Amino acid sequence: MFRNYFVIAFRNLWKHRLFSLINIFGLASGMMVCLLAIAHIKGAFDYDTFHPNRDRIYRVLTEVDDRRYGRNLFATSPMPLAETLKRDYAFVEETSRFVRTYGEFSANYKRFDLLSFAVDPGFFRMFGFPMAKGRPATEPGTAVLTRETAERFFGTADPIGQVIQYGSAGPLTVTGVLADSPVRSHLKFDILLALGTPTKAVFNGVFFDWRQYTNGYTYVLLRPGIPADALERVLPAVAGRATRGLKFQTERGYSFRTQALTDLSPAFRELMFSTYEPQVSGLLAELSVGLVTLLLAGFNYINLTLARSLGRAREVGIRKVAGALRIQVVAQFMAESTVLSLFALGLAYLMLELVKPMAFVQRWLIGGVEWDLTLWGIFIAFSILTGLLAGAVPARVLSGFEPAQVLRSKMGLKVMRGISLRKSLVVIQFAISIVAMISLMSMHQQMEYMATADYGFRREGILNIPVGPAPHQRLVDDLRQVAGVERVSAMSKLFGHHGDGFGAVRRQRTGGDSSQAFSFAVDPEFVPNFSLQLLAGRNLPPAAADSLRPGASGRFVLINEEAARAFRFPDARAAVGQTLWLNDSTEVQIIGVMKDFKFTSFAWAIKPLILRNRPDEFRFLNVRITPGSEETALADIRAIWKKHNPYEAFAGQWYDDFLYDHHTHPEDMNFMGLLIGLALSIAGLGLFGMVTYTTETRIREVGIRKVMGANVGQIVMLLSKDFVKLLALSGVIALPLGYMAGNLFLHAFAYHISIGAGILLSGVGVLLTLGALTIGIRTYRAAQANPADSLRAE
Amino acid sequence: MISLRNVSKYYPAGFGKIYVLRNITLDINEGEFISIMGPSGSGKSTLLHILGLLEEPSEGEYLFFDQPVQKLSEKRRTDLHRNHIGFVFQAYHLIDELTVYENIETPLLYKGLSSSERKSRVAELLDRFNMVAKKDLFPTQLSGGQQQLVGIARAVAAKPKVIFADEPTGNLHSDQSKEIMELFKRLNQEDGVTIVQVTHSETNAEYGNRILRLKDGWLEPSEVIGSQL
Ligand SMILES: Nc1ncnc2c1ncn2[C@@H]1O[C@H](COP(=O)(O)OP(=O)(O)O)[C@@H](O)[C@H]1O
Ligand SMILES: [Mg+2]
Repeated sequence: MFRNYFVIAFRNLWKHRLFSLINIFGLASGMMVCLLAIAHIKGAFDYDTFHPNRDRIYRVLTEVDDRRYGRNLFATSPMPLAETLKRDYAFVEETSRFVRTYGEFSANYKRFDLLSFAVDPGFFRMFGFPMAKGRPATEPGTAVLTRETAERFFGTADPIGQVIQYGSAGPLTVTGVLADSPVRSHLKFDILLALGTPTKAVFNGVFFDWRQYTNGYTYVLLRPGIPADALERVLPAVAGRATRGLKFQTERGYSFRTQALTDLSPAFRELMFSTYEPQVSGLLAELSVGLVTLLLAGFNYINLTLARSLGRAREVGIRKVAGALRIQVVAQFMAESTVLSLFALGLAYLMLELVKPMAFVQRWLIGGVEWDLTLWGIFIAFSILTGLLAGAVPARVLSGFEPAQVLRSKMGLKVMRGISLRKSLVVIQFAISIVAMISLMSMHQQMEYMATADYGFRREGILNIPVGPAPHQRLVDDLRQVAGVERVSAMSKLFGHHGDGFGAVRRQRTGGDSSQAFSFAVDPEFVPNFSLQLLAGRNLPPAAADSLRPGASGRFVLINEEAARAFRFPDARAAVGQTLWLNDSTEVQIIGVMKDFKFTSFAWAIKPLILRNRPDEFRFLNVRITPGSEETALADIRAIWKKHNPYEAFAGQWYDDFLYDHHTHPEDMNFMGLLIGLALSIAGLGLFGMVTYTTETRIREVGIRKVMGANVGQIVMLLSKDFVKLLALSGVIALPLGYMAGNLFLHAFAYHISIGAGILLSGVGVLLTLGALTIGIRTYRAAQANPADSLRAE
Repeated sequence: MISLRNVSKYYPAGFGKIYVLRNITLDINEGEFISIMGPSGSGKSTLLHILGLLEEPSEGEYLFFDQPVQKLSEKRRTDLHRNHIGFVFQAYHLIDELTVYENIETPLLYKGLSSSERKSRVAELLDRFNMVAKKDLFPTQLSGGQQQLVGIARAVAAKPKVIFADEPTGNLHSDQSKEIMELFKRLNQEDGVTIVQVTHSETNAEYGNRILRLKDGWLEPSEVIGSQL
């Protein structure tokens, strides 16, 4: 019986090749997207499977009850906790704390911003990150590098024993290099430091302070054979003892929870300060994009199968008369869709191989996922399920044919079924495609806008050169000599990025009006160089005159209008001469107020800004070059750079280019474009098939009308009228939805484009053109046919 | 074996209904060979479909082997189709995607015969209908007469008690018709299969033992063919 089902399934697919191709392509496209999402999900379950002790490792979470923010679960915990657990509880074999920091490391004349974890020695006994060479960083002042970091700093040279500088932490000796992990981990880092190393001064108090629970993570390794809840059971007592008598600012208190390493990924609950485990919500979002694409393809299958129902109806009648139960007929149709779906899986795999190298796919979706048998099993099960589901609707409709109706020798009776269903599916398909297209175009335009917009500072003709923390005065002096260089200034971080140094600023040392503000370090040349406008007061003074006390540069600050508003100064003029307290400790005086300009991502409205002259924080030189002399000036600047930094490549970049590259994401756009392209092809092919089969059933009518004198134009009109109506309807439905979807995305940006007629009409226009072409070609061919051929056949 | 009591069939039309069959009372015994005749649209096919359990009568009672079958579950009806009833159609209605062999095998699959039983039964039929050489061809590669032979082979494959044939020779020329009629006659006489056929041809009708004439849905008194009286 099954053999018979499959034999006829194969023959049917072969006989109706157009049908099969359209559906295999469509289902494969949808499946490819789903497979990416499934692989990602599967990968999420495989996180951290390489630690030998993973069943015994737990992370301690802190559930904080806060008067302002309510109850929140933090992935972090107070730093003294690890010591307490290890000392007081025998079932704890090992604990490890880690503190995550992001900052600039330098070695071998190179400098990189690296993600670092400062870890206890226990880290290396607890986790199974494989070492490629050397030994773990257990003593203060040592570090272990990942393979990638080691190569970035030292190339092929042996990094062991080399020294790396990290801010105030001082020199770190490299003791080892990690091998690449076999699978991904929720812990992502470029470098591991021994925690004993004094990092930033602010951390020192933290290690003994039970009030601070956001600075680091605590992991616990239980002894073998200890039940999982042993730790969970003692934690209330630990929290009780720890918090007794503590004075919090806004918190009512906290308690501890455990989280098994094996349950960490994917994360079902969002944690504050979480590490890098994939979130279920994100995975589901990806899967639903895949499922929608697959749904579009499923619609095609349903549509085209029903469009061929005339041919299939007779077969259903015969089988029933020969003794088939309805369920057996259903099984037959399901077998067919399953075979089709397995073919689609094959093609989907090929497509997957094609998109695998795409940067977006590697970075966000499937990098590091193990392609094992389990995954293949899931893929096959998924495609069979897809086949069964896609086959279910047409199987239901077609198996309902009564033999008495379909087997009468004159087939005058209406046997077309599900016509309104088919029409709605076409409309939905095209509507979804249009909505997706309008959304993508909105995103694209927003990115272009952010990439090219007027930020309120001059962005043209400025070359940014990244520099190290060393004094740059001699380099600056040399640059100023270059012909074509108008001005050179310095700054700590580029504008147009996410901001840097966001912190609390107060009017008085204790209390008073306070606000969060961004602070950047710039030199006095900066303001004229970027054509910033001062509304009141003066520019920053040069560093020398600024140093009232040794090392106290940055006594004066410039603020923007928004800062003046945030600190409740009546106007810009009133702010000048007033003082502000930065981080509760530094008192600075406002020397001038600048007109507002955009200095962070467009996602945020303009925020309070403080500019200080702090030469040790400068990381970029901004060289303004006279228009027309870019070429020669750039060559001279390179030469000067080489002279000052013989070991470091020149990394200057035009500000214009930086803003453009930073805001356009060609990789992401390419991938989304691919998705839309697939959706469009699915809808287009579906329409093509629909028109083909529907026109086929009307071929006799066309013949008769032509004999009676209808011309080709009239026939094309006749055949295409219904489809054009469907397309128009989907346009009408999709326009408002697309407008809403696009705005939903744009809503995330404080400064955004507005979706105009241009985007809307081109979205609909592309679809209508595609649809009209499809319909036109197909119906024109039918109208051209010689009526003698169609009428001769009985 | 078949007995209709006051059976009528109507279809709703507008506010009223259109009667296709009116008050038909009819008995068919096992082993009979019956021909149904009548003008186009007189309800012949409808009557055949009701007899073959493809349609339900609107009124009246139908006993098949003394069992009332007006309202049967799908399972029971399918059971009768599998084991007792075979159909032959004017348009042959073979499955184009299956070979001759597979077309004949189809009812045996649904009947649940084992693979070896199916093989021997199909081989026997191919042999009997002289189609062994054509067993791997597809229906479109056969002439009309050959297709109808396959259609009949398929109808008798499951060894039904009765075959309903709706204008089985309607699309064939006369020598082909004759061949088909001879075949029916042999099936009727040698295998004892009851045959009910619809035909427009008096010559073909003569092969049977009884002719039923339908007119506007009414059944005229049946006539029994000559010599047998
Ligand atoms: N499903 C139906 N609905 C309405 N009328 C029908 C239906 N099926 C058959 N008829 C009508 O019943 C009449 C008898 O049809 P049929 O039994 O096929 O006649 P015959 O086979 O004698 O030519 C015809 O007029 C036909 O139009
Ligand atoms: Mg008829």
